[in-house]
Amino acid sequence: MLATAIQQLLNAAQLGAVYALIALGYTMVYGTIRLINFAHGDIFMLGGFIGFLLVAIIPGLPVAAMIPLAMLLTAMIGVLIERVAYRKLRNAQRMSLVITALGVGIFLENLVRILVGPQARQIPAQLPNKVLRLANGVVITEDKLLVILISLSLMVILWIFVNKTLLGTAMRAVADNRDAVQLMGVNLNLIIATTFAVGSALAAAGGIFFGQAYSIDPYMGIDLGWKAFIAAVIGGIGSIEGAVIGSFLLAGVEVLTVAYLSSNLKNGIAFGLLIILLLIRPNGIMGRAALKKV
Amino acid sequence: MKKSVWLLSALSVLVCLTGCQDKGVKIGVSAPISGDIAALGQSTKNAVLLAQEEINAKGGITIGGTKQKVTFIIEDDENKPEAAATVFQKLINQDKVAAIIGSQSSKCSNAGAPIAEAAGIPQISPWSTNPNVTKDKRFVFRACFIDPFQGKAVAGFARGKMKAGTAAVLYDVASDYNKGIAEVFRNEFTKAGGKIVGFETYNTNDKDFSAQLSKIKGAAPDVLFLPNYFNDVPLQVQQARKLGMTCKFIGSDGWDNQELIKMGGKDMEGTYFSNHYSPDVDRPASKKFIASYAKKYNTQVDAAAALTYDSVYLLVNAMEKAGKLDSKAIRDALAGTKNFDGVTGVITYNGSGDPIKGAVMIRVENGKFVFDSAVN
Amino acid sequence: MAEHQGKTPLNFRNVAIATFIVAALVQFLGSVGLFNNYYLHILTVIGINIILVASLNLVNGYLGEFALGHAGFMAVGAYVAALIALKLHLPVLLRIPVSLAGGALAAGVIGYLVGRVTFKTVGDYLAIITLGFNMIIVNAIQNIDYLGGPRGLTAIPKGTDLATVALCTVLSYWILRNLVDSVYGRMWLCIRENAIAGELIGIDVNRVKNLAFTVAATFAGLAGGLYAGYQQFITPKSFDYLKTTDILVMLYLGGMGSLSGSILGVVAYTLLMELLRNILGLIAPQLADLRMLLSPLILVFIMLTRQYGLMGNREWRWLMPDRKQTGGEGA
Repeated sequence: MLATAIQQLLNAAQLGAVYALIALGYTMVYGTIRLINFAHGDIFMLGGFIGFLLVAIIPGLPVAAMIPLAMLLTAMIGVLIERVAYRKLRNAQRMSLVITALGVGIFLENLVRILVGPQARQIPAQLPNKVLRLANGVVITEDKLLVILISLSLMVILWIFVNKTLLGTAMRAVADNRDAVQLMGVNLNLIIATTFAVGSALAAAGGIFFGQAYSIDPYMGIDLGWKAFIAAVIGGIGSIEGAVIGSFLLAGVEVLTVAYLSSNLKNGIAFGLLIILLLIRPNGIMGRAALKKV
Repeated sequence: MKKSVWLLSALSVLVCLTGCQDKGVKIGVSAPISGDIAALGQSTKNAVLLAQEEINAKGGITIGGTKQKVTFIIEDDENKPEAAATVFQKLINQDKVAAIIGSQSSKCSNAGAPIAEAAGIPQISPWSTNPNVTKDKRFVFRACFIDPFQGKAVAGFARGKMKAGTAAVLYDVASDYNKGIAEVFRNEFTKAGGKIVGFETYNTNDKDFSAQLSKIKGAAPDVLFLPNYFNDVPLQVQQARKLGMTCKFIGSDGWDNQELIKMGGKDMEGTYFSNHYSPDVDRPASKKFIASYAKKYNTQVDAAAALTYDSVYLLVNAMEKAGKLDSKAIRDALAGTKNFDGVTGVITYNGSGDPIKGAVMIRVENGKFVFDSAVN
Repeated sequence: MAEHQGKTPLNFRNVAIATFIVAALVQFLGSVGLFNNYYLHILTVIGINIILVASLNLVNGYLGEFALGHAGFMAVGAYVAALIALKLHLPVLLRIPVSLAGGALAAGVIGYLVGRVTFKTVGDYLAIITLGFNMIIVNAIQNIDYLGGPRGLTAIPKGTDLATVALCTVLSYWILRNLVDSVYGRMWLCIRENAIAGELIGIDVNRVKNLAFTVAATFAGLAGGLYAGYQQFITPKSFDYLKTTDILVMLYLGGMGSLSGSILGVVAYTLLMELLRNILGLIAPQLADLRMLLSPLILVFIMLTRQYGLMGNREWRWLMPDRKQTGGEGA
């Protein structure tokens, strides 16, 4: 009994780490320019496929080189998307931007489907993936442990970046009051481009780990993107630690619903609980109250 | 406002003008080219184009003594029922096809079936296992066996050859194919004296099954039945093995794709699944198709491709037998099909749109699908 | 009434009557094979989608909230209407109105209850809650065997044709238009621009918001009932968040806060998708694959060139009530 319970908590931690990898990048863009970036899940997918293609094209490429390279390429694509599809709408009503993001997402999904093919792929495992056996038959694999550790350290790095560096301070300032920031002589375009670059690079790293631990396919970003959006909102809009907490909470509710209630009603019960949570804390767990409506 | 009205009228006129008129036999195909099961759409498309090439290389279909070239019009139904309805309407009324192959998922075939039925256009769905698709319809056929048959075959195999006393099931609750077989398996396995110790579900596009598997592990079944598609199964088997589960794995025809072994690798060794045919069985029709498919696409045949290919030839066979392109005559010839020697076995229609055909059990051995036994 | 509107024949009443007569005629021609049934189908789908999009416009456009669960209410309407049609064995003339009304009513009741809960939050939190309700509804239907589970319901009696859809669309549009032009419409706009100011001038914000939400859900239910009767087959997956995003795309393409835009958005998007299907297939069959690649590009392009959608916050004059009669000249 206890062993199963511990195993399920570990399972929840794994799943939560995956959600967190996406939600972190999501919440950065979301926090800075308030864009519900429906394309973020697809950038996550794209990052995974770039990693997959790099391994396929350059055999023997070490993982230590492949991940930064894929992150760089995806960051460039992220910046390009912002430049081409989002920048012009930055001062338009918010929902126009949401629809543009949806369009970009559908475009990316079908681009990858046509170029790489619709099948699900696994990135050949280059990370250690031995099974670690703990007491009483409780197990965890090394790659999943790694995913947990990586998403937690990314959270710390991101937190330091946003809260302690000049660029990060500028980002927070943009989130608070874009016009005032521009009056102070800050280059708004640079700040927003940086946000997209960092968010997309994080997504790429996430996609690659995901593609090794699970599998990637062109349409996987849709569901994961929604989950990340939910995690980010539950954690509190724009809050980095909130995104991580929201991710682990969402995963925890999902896994525990399966484990102790019913896997049939997983989505129903999980969302029911999350709705109740939002009704108790209408601004998310780490969110600030009195949100200005857009 | 004027501009937009002009734009709309121009668009509408264009839509109306684009109905093209070609000579020869036209057959419509409704397939999920994009969307969440696009991999199946790809196989459908491959099989159809291969068949088109073969038929036209021989000069076409012989109808009433003259050879007529065949054109397949492949439309994307995005795996959405409303898009499938649009595709069926377009194929029937715009392209004036003689018959329709499609769609793959039951929900899309179900959306198209009333349209084909009302228009009196024969429809063959390669791989829609939902019993409702053909129910009470004269013009709707399928090329595959239906859930009750397959679920019973697998349950019998698990109880008999695998000597399993207890079994658990993990299936996609949001997909009717998976749910249908899972429920039949549960009933048949219990009826055969076995015990179901776990009946767990997940949702389409889930990639992490560890919560369900941990729960099943606690119940320690002899065999775990996974009636799911080939893109999910390797993840499920891998995760189960990593959790330290020692039970045997068994599956259904949704497993039939080389991706299963490519992704699952060693973990898939020693698993079994039911299928329509086996590449090992010495049947000329299967051997020829497998060889030419591999040559043209540099990949191996899967169930979707094989069943689509059979659907095409069932139709061509019926057209030649009918001797004219009249849809009612084609329908009657199709319904009278007896002992058609297809890739996926010998097919006979016995009054209804559901074929009478056998199943085989396949074993995964040394990275290959190996024939194990036949079920009739 | 008519003598006041006089000058131009292009007014709502004439257009509505003409729409219905043309629809009935086209339906008749289609059923005897004189009108291409493919076009008939597209027109029917456009009609159903106009109801969906225009009703969501109340919440997302006029009220300025971001609801993400419209497909869920459509599901309620579709299933209730389908059950009435399947189980009650009413004569056809009674069956169609009863099933449609039942579907709309059920969706409205659920919408009211969901709205009561939802409007404790605003903005993106509201988006998540509505999305959550959509998922809960779909997940629940998947697990109820009486409703067919994931297999859905088949063999629903044919209850909808273009004439029925046209009648419902015109009626819905008329009601929505009058609502938007009524004092409630003004209150919605006021809440959208500044909810606090609205409260200060004495608007019962939650009640007024919930009215928009309930009305929107009711019409989504009506559209669901029409859909079930037309398609004769429904499955829970037809109403998941992919359907919601389809509705959103048409809504924002047409423009928020514009009922004319809702018509234009639906027509433009549907024609665009079908046109791509036809043109690409005509040029070369291999190009058909590019359809799903080109359509999002065109969507992005339109949004970039017309930030507020095709008709954002503007209306075709003839679709709105005559100012002289309502006397509701605000600005």
